[in-house]
Amino acid sequence: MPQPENALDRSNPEAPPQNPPETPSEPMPSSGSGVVGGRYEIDFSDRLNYLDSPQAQAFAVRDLEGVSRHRFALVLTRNSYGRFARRSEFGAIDAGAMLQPLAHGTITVPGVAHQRMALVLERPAGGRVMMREGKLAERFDERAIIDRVLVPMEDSLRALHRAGLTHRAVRPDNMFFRDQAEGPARLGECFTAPPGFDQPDAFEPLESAMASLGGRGEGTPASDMFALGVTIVTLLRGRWPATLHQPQRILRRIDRGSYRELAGRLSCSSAMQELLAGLLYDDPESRWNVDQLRAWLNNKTIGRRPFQHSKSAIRPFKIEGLSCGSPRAVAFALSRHGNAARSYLADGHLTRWLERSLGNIHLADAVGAMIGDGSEDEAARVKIDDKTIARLCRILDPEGPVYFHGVAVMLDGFGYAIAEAILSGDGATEKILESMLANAFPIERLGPELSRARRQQIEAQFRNYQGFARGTAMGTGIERCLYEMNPGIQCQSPLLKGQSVSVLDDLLPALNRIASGGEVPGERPRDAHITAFIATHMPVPEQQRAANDVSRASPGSQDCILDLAYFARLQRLSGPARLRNLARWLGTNLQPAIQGFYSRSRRERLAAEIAEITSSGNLSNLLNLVNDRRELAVDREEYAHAVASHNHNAEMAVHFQTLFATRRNLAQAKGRRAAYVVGCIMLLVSCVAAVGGGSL
Amino acid sequence: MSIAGMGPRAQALSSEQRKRVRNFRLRVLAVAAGLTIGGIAMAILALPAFIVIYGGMLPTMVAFLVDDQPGRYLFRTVGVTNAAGVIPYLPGSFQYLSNAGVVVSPAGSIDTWLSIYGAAIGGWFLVIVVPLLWQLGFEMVLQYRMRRYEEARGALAQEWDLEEPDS
Repeated sequence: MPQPENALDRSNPEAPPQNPPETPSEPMPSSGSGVVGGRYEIDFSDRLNYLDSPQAQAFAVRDLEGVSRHRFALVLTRNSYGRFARRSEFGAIDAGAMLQPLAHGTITVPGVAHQRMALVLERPAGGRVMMREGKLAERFDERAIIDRVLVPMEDSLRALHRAGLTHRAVRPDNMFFRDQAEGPARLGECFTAPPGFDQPDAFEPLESAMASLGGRGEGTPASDMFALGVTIVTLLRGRWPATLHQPQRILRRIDRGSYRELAGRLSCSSAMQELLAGLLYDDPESRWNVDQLRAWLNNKTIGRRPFQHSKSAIRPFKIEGLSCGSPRAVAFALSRHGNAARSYLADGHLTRWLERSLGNIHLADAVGAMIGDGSEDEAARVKIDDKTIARLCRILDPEGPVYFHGVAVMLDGFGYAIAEAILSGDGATEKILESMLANAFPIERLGPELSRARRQQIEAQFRNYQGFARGTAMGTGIERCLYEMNPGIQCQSPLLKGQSVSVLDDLLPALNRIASGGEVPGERPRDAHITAFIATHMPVPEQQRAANDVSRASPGSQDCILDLAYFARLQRLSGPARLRNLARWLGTNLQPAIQGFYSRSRRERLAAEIAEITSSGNLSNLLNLVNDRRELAVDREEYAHAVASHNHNAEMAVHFQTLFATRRNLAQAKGRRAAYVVGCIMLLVSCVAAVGGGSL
Repeated sequence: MSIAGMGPRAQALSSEQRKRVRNFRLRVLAVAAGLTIGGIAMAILALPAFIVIYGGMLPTMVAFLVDDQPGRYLFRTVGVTNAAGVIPYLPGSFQYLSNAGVVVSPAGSIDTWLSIYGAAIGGWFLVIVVPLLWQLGFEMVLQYRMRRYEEARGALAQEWDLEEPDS
């Protein structure tokens, strides 16, 4: 029997657990520490390179409760959410030989701006079964594979699959020996990357092998069984599967079948061939599950089902040198060379090939209905754009990934793909994924293997996402899809950089912390991410109430009042009761709401009262102050009166100015009349005097 | 000099207006005839009274001739003040008929004529001074009111952010 430990020693000089390297092989902070789960302190000065994952670096961990020293931490090397959302589900089961995840959380890595996810795991005593893309000096024999790999893996996978979980990272470099001596292997972690992300294409079933790394999805237990089959092949061969020319390899796998392509030339016992054939079925329904594996391990004959290949064409359909013998292969080739094939498609070659060479009339009709069969006039031909090609790929391979602009995502991989795109700042992929959802490509055609109920569920789900992706309001779009599809993911708002907010209760305290100190941030406290996060996690009735709160606010002030309304509702829901800094922040942004009042004195009074209320930290009081409908109505009424009075006064002023201009003529007319009246009085007095006083 | 209201512009008046002017002229003619006949009779029967009335009302006659303003308030005012100066001397003048001495009657007293013409001059003075005083008071009232409205506008504009009045 070969000695895997020795082989390991020779193939990986830095791997042996007994000789961990003293100095890190790549630049990393040499000091600092972070505490995960309130218990495990990461020592950044103690790197454990031999335990690194493809997306994470390993560090030593000190258990603050001092229970065990056999722990290590994986700290993600990039801003990613990995698969941490499912960690608690894995923690709830006893997955046998799988390295047990103990805690995870976000930590501040010295010298790194963003917080990083960290995972604390059991520390394996032995080394890696095989290094990635490495070569074993001595291959495993079949007995060793059965005893040291298959038995413990079957145990772990059984536990996971029973719990409805998939591992999606079953490969030789993610297996560790239990101890330094010959012994069984343990399955590594599966949280530091999205499912299937670190799997070489060969370890993935055909469907997910064709997908982009971040979009391979959770898959099914059959995906793990396939990966286990390829792992056995790799260990028996003693070398890593080839990684070059993957498109051609995938097309060959489609054409010949994965078993023939990956294990066809492997010399092994017939029993082992039977196992590999069972694990490497391309049809997930026919692939062996853990029960069949257990039966095989117990020397029971399972029986090899005949491989069912999809019908191959008489002659291949060629796209840019890629020879395609089946609709799935055509879809895969089109996803890569769609631009070059446009005129070819428009001429009806594909439709005719499906009909004549493949003999699939039904599919040919469906394709012909979409892109025509080339018999139309030049002007009447369908213009084949990227969306048409994406839809065409769905028709040709409904069980495969959704293709668009070079991105391929499985139906259950959208959540991870979007999270990866947003967290890694890949704006182009973000846009492509948004377009996929907005155009409802995933539900253009669903696989025939899905039940009616499951089909309806998927359609409803993606129609929902389509609505979000098409939305233009703040809180819709790809951000909303991110939080809807990944409920446990932290809020990715740039405002919350350095804060860990994965539940609604943490949002307000985090924003309050951001606003602490002298100056409040210049921007609004609610951006697209925070809005989408709230919209996803906040109960719908509360959201409706918040929307109602602002329905009568003046148009210019609705945004800032909506911010306040949402946060006030949130404070009522989850507290805390005093949010002085956030209140101050919101109060600073309430200027448009204050300006919504016409009266200057009322505005000044409001500004003074806002300053007073912010010190109490009660957002509801602040909202009631600036969104007082009665006060607003009084203000508007008074304003209407004021405008009327202002106009009246203006008219009167003009009137008096006109009078003033004509004062000389008026004074002449009126003054002469007055003089006449005075004269009349004199005459009257004279008459009275003459009559009463007698003659002079 | 033309008769009030009968200037050359009357030539350009309409037929209706021309008719009115004609009627006015007839009235003036009738009054003038009446005054002439009455004056002759009075001069024969009560010469002192004739002298006081016809001599004392001369300023009114002058005012009648020079006043061409609409309303003829100069004529009216001078007329009533002139009359106010004449009336107190009439009873005394009528005591002396034509056979008595004019010298002893009020017509022979310088005070009488000073009073009568003083009253007429007073009337003339009123017509000049009262419009000036009226204008002065009117200006004060107007300025006060304009200031009040401007202040009210300014206050409203400041409180409600309306258009500020020109300063």
